[in-house]
Amino acid sequence: MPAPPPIGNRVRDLREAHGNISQAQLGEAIGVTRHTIIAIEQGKYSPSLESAFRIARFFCVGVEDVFSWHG
Amino acid sequence: MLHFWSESSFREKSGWVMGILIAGLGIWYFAKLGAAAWLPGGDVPTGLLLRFVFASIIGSIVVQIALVTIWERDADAPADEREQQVKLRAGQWSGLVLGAGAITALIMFPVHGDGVVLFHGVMASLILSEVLENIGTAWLLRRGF
Repeated sequence: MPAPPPIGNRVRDLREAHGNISQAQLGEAIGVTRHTIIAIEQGKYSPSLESAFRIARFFCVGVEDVFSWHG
Repeated sequence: MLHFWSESSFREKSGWVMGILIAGLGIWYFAKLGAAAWLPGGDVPTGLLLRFVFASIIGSIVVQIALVTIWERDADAPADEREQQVKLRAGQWSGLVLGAGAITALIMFPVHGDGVVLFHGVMASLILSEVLENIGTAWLLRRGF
């Protein structure tokens, strides 16, 4: 197994804080599948810069409030 | 098992099923031929080859129709950024296997000088590369990428 990307995120926390929206709803809003949201939340996949901004904009926060560098 | 399928994306399901189908047909073809596939002086197994090609085409169509019928909504969705990256990576692996196999078959040709053995070398590489692309896509989507 490869080392997970050194990027942490608060996507799950933000989803729960915003009315507990589903992974599918978030995925649809930013243009990825539910499985990609699951992979992001589990830290298995680092989204593209564009998707990272889309996620941040969806939750009305800055990118650095969603993603953090753990390297 | 049910959980495994419900948690899989459409492309992962398709990758597992298509990979297993092609691997199964490839094993069936080469098992039928046995050592004859790799011995110089044999004839082209036209009947078996046609059955293999026919089964591959019909099997792929049937499997894809079944998957699309069961998971119609997922099947319509275009590949997202992660799925596109996974497909690219699996395609690179597949290309390497196909290239290495084909080059090996060509290098071996002057040794045995048999066109049928060369053909089977390239065919085995093609089957392996297809299996790797499908299973690799499914595995990368499952493992995380």
